[in-house]
Amino acid sequence: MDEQTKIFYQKLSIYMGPLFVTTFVIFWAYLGHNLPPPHPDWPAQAFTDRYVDHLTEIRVGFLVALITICFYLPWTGYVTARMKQIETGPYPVLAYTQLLGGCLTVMVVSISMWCWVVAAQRPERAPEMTQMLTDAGWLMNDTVYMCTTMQMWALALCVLHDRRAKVPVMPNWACYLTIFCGATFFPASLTAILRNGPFAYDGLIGFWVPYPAWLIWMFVASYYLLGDLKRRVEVGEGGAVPMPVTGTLRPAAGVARESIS
Amino acid sequence: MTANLEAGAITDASAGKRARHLPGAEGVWVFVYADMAVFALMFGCFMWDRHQAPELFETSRLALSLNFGGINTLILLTSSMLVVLGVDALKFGRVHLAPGFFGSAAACGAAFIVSKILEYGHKFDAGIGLTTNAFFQYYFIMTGLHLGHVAVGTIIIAVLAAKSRAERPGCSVAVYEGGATYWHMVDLLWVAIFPLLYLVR
Repeated sequence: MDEQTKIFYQKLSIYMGPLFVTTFVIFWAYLGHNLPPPHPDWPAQAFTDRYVDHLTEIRVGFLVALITICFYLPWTGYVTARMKQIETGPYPVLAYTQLLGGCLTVMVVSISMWCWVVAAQRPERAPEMTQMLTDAGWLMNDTVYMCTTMQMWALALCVLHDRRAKVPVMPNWACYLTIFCGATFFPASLTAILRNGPFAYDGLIGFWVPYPAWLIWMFVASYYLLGDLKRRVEVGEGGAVPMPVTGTLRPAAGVARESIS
Repeated sequence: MTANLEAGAITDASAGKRARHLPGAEGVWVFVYADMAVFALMFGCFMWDRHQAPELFETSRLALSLNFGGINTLILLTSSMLVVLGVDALKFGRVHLAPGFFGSAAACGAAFIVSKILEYGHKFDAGIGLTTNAFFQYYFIMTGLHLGHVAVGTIIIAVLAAKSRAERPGCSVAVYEGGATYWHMVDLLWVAIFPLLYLVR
């Protein structure tokens, strides 16, 4: 693969992040009738009505969102590769933690939408079952967030510890914003217990803080990743990055090995 | 701009410098303000719900222990002061005192956690839990989230205590100031939560 093509795919991977956010808002939030979310304290029949009244929108919304959620994967892939350049050496644990967190985030959000797709498949089901599927979907997102938090924290810590770069991937404030956005998910665990008020899955602290925090973070991170890619291209650091200082030991070891054999 | 700085430097060097110095990394402040904004939202929700049911909130408030709340406040204020002393010790060349100050501050954090666990225990023994009523829902969630902040802060301060043992006079204090800033926020949040839950009639 030539350098031009490599850069193209790297750029494409970063753009997949904001593209994911945009499609998520359109299909998951707007068409899927999650804006505002259903109220967890509704009687069961209200959940069935919600699906019956907006059946096509909800079906199209979640089926498309289930496809576009995977745009999160190439973004995570690029971030992993970028982090490995910071965490030089054979043990890039932060990069791998970020990779695993990103992959599992896609699964968590997918499983939650899968519950809603199942509910929309047969809206004539007993209302209690539709209610349960809706609850199950929300609680999947709202209690299994730690994968995403780990992804965000690993990225932030990696960039904060980058001492070599003249210009870090993200500025200091964006790293701390990342840590904060990851931390806003914790109160969402309360959605499993409380069905009313700000801590329920349609509440201020249960929905309106953590979900926007996640999506805003993705925009901020993508913005700085693009700037960072531009800088890398300008200094001619495309695909194969020359390893400064620490890397010099390896060619020497290679030469030594060759001379032995 | 430069002229202003220089003029300030001539008239009062220390004051000019102090006014412009942002303790810790700028990001710490972004985190602190964002975090406090979330707590402010929660305080707003609490006040709104309190407005809806003033009697319930007032009678429930009376079940809280002012002794525990007061002791918690004293513990955190003391630890905040110890952290200030620790940072000052590093700044002004009394480096050998810093580990003691930071260590004591971390011990205060641990004491706070223990006292909160005891307080929760008393509540559970009295049959009061998260789902008892709207007031206790806020009580457990706000103090619980704050307790999470205290736990994280105690670890940070303990790490700083260990780190400060190896410092030399004239070392960079940015990391210590960042940790101290977070710890003061934890203290400040408690200073808001304590009157809101325990004292306001």
